[in-house]
Amino acid sequence: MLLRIRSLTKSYRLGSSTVPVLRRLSLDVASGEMVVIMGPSGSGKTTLLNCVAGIDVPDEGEVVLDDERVNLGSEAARTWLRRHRVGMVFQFFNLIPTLTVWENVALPFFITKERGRAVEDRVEQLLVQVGVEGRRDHYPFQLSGGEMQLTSIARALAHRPRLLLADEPTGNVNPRVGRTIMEILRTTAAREGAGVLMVTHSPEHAAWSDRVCFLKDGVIAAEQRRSGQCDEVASIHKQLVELGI
Amino acid sequence: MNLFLAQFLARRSLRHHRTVSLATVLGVAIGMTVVGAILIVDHNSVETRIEGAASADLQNLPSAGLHPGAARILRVSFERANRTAQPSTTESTFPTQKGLARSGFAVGTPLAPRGEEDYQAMRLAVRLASVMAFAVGAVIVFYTMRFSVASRSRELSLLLCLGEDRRNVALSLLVEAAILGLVGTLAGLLIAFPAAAALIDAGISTTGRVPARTFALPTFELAGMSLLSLCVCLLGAAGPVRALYAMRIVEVLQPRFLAPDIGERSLRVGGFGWLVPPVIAAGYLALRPFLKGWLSVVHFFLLETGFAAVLAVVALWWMPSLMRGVIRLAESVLRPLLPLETLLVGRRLRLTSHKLVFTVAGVTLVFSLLVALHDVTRALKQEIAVWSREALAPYVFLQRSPGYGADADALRNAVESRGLYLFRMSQKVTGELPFRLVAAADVNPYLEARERPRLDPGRVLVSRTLAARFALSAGDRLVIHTDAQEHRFIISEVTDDLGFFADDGQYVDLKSYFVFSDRNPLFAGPLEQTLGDYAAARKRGGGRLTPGDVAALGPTYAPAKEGQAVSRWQRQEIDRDFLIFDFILIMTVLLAAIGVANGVLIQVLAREREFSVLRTVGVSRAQTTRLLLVEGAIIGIVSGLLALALGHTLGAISVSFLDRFTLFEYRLAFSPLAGALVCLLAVATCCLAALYPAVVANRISSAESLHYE
Repeated sequence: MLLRIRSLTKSYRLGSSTVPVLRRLSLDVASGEMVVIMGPSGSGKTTLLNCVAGIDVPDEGEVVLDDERVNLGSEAARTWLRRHRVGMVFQFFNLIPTLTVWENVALPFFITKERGRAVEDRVEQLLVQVGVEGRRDHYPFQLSGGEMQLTSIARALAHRPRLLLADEPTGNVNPRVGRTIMEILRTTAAREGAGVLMVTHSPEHAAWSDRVCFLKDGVIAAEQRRSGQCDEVASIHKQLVELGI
Repeated sequence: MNLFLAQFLARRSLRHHRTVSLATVLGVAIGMTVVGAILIVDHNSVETRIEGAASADLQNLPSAGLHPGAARILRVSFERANRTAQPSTTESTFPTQKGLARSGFAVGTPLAPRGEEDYQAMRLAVRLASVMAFAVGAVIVFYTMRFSVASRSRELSLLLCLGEDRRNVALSLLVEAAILGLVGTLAGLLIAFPAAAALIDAGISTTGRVPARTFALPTFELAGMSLLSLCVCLLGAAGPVRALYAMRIVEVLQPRFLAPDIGERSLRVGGFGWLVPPVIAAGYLALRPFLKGWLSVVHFFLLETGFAAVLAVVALWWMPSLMRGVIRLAESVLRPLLPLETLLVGRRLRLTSHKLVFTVAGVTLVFSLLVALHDVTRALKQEIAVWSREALAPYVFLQRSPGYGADADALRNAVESRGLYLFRMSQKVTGELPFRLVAAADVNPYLEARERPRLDPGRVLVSRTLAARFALSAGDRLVIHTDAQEHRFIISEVTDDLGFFADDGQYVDLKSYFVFSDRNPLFAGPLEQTLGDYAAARKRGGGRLTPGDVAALGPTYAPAKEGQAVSRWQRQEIDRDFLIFDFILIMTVLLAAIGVANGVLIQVLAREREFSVLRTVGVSRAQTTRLLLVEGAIIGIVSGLLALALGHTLGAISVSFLDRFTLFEYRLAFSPLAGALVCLLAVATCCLAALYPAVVANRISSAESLHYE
């Protein structure tokens, strides 16, 4: 199993009260598997991704990636995790505004001080793969929203992460780009053997996954296995209605 | 106009941006502290007269040492050897000391107190320096207001969207500025009182004189400066208010990732634009000699300072381009060592260099002040060093021991056997015509050995300071008019190496004297009888006198002062006089640090998302800290280099002014070491100032910053 999450608990303090967000949540993701998390706002989807990526620290529980328990209490370990094992895609793209498209995609290699032909080839390959090779020298503000998101996906894939975390990657793009993004995430997971954990509100995009987990009140309330029926969204809708999401 | 809502929004904004508000308050407070403290110290310095400043009137000369039968001296005049020679100093509509009374002076119409102009020049410099500190505070206020409002443009637009009147939002900005100004000014005033008291207690004044023991307050000036400080804060809000009126809500409220807030702006010099400043500078340099001749010393100084200020403003226009150049250079140096930091910082700084103009301008202003003051103090110390090399260092000053007459043979033997020169001198006559007699038999062998003209009756030596005062040179004649006849003396030399005795008194007075030989009929009398009461001894072959040499001159003479010790004391005195500048400089460097910290902090807060992305893709806390330190270092390098250029220009102007305005000879001397140290200090200050923003950047919650627009 690529990712094993066990009894993950996270709560936030709001003044004098404590608001539980994740309640002893457990989840597995296999290599090459694409898992989608759906749930209402405030159900803990983003918090779950943050805890797995190590940009937030859970109160309890464990995260095991590639059979290695992530030391969530260590800042250095979490930084290492993000540097080498995990890639992230956000709803709001989050590109570095001062770097060109090429440099944004190459950023993970700059951080790990990797250079050379192999790195350049990898970046070029990703630019072609996501279809922004013609924009390689442009700055983010010169791109459309879709191009920004494609660049951000290329950056997340650059260092060949074992796990790709995507937080509503199609939330701010048009349907055509949304489909392209889903295709890229799907094929990447299959080709590179990486797991994908994606949060979305869209049943159409959730239909691309191998499994859909429905998160409610900090726990996985239901799960639906899929078998490549990208056009079949009725069952997802039905499940959402049943759960009152 | 909804004043309640305006003050509510202002208070809420101040509370929300606590650190930035605190930095602004500190900027105003420190600027006000410096100006307030200087005004109070100045108020308590200005009326205090230095002890011993009063000197004997020339009319008292007969009683001071002239022959009892001599007539009273009525007038002193000078006859020029070369009458066509241009005066060394243009006559000024403002009082200068050089060349004053070139044709002579009448007894009974005494000149202004000697050295008064020096004190006034120092007062002026202190007050100007404190205004510089105030200006740096003002830069911080303007910068903070501009960028804190820019960072809240979305919030302000939302208010407008919700139906709030632009006038009312603008009012909230003005209320915010007024609150900051009021708190800062009051805090500055409150700190200024104890600071001034401490300075006065430490014996520091704005004139170099001993300050008064009373603690009087310049109420009117303090009130005026407080009002000005408040006005500066309100003016700081003027730009943002104007921007608010021009703000297009639709543009501000569009998703942030679509807003092109970066990009190389059009604020750059292109093509022939680069040629304009060199052409102006070349034109000015061509005209300079004529302007120097036509204008008075003070007018010329003001013109040059104004020209330097114009150049500084031009440098502001150049700054983004200049910064980009320096950043490219820094990038090429740092890339092999810190590739990631170089890429991120270099790109960020180059693309947003227009936003850093205020920060760099503030730091440049501070460090150029430091450089200029260093140039001036260095020139002052150099002047003392040159003088003490001639007049002090080779000598031990001696006084005849009470009860001992001069045993001429024993003394001659001791002088010969020890290889010494011993110059026996009379008491010094003070007043407008300060002079002393020296034994011709003692000085002539010394002068002949150096192939210099002898000092015989009818000839006179004059010290450099006094020669500067009356614009005298070798070959001119000093004419002393008595009611009986005129006595003419040829000035054989202008020199400092003969005739000085280390008395107590004012520096300028000690260095001003004529030296006559004995056996002049005019001075034959009580003054000549004191010849030998004082003496100065030096080695024939150079070097310092040993204790054995000094002992050999006893018991007739006892050592009074050692020249090297006097030289050291003089330099310490200069250091003490300049302590007040140290106070101003420390405060302005502190202000610069606050300004940089504030600037970098505002940038960090505006780039929360960027830092979060970096953290998410694996940049560590240490790397984030390094990013900001490199950013601080680059600001420091650019500011340091600009400060060297501007500071040395100001220093050269000031030194040139002092050289022409005062009686002393000042020469500008650049010190590469001091230049490097100033640059290092600028870099260190900016790096230190970037530390706090780095802490803030490391505290930013990636989870929050990345997931919400």
